[in-house]
Amino acid sequence: MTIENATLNIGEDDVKQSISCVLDGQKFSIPLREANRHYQLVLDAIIEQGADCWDGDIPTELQTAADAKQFAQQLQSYTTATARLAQYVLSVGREEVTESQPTGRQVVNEETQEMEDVMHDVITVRAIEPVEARVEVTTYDEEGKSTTAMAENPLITQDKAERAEAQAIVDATPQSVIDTYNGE
Amino acid sequence: MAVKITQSEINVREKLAELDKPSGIAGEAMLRADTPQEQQAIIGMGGRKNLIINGDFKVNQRGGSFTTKSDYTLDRWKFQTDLLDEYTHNVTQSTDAPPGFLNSLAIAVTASEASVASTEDLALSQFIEAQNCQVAELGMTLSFWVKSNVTGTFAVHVSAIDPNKIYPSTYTIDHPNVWEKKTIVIPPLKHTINSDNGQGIRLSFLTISGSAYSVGDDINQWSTYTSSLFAAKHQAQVKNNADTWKVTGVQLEGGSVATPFEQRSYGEEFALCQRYYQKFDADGQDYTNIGIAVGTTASSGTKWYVPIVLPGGRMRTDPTLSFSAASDFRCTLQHSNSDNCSSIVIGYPNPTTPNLQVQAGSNVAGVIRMFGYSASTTAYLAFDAEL
Repeated sequence: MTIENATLNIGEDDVKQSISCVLDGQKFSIPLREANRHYQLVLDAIIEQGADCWDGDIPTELQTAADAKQFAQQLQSYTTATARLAQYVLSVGREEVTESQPTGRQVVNEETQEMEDVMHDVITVRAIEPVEARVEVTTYDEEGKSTTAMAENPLITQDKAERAEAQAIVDATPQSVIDTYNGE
Repeated sequence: MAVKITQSEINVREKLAELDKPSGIAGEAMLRADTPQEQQAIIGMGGRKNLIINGDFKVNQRGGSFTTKSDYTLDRWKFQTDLLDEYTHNVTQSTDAPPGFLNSLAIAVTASEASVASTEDLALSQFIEAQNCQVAELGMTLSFWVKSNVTGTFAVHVSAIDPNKIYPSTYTIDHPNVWEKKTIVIPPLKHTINSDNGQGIRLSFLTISGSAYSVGDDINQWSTYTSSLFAAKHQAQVKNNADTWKVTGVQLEGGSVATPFEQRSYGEEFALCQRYYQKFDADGQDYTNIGIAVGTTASSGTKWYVPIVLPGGRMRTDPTLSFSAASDFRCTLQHSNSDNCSSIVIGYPNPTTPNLQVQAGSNVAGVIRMFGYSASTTAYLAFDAEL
């Protein structure tokens, strides 16, 4: 959807109340309300088109709202991408992780004469074997004749593509968004 | 001493015959029901059960047919697309429908998409308001009728927007150009949907999908939303010129049983649609009036203020205004003393009584006139609070 010629309407008491614009060739008057879907489209247009969608300069309050929306979108994308990259790589698998934890029993330390926990190793992350690197793939030509050949496991191909997409999002994320994600 | 005990007579033959009395199919279903909700559904005491509004496509306030691939069409139903650079379609309120229905939504492809790229898709969706969606926690059942000349596997999904979850599923059209009823049982959602007026659940029917959106494997289970599940396992493509795809009788209800479609009257369905979209329409009659215009002086110039009382009551949120053309409206004292409008905007937003700010003529301060249609018989003022 293309937004053009947007302007701000000012009410009788000088309060800014709505946006007039042309949306896909038709005139609209849009209230300045977050829950209104057309208001969200205007913010998207400011993010994507910048001042091109506006007659004159973009009003400060709308630019601020668009910046806040873009920041929230980037934070959401960064969070999702980071979570995707934290998943194990299918072609590598995952190593087992153990942790020493108290069993709930205690014994007397003969040197200190104090009660001490009896510890044991607990598996906190189970190992996962890597998936097969190459598998047989059968393809059919236009006449229905099949050809079987070894190829990269499609699961690995998809995993690589999703990781690359997630990495690209992480790489493109502004530092201010990363700082917010890290709680700084 | 002898004691004599007497008892009223019984007809042994009659009693034995009663033992053979069948309980009937409904009785058997009642006995087999797992939950009170299923029992209620069987005996028709489910109340207003269909979360979908205009599931039988009888309401079309926007009117006519539609070529949009990314906006609302028949009431409450929206198309969503990515790319699709060659494909075009015409969407109509069709009278082709299975028994028990008057209408369906029909897509007729008018230009082919030669090759569907990985990130191209087309979905017909309805967003359900979040505060109406809590039944998802009990599990839901989706049922609908569908007909297409294209056979094969189609994707359909239900998404819960707040918890960012998706339940992708598929159905198969087995026979070309025959109405087929489909049912999909959706297990309980283990996450909360907010109680607000935002987007709660999205139901989407896919008719076209590229590999990026159909490559996902995890169908028939709730998963965290990812674009690869949006059209998971979709194979059939309604993409060639003259292809058709029609749907009606769409019902999304609580519980694990697909009960008969909830038939609501046109008036009831129309009223439900008006929370999201309503329209003042000249309807073939020019020069009729809509409301009162009050002339005021503002720093931005002299203008008329027109308080509108929305005929369908309170809308979901402050609505957007669109209209045929400003000059289709006028402020008038009498027919010979009127000024056509040159601009109409929302002066004060409100979900029940939005105030319009209208430019028509000059020196209007302190004057009261009527606001209505000018010479146009096709004029309209539309208020849109869709999700």
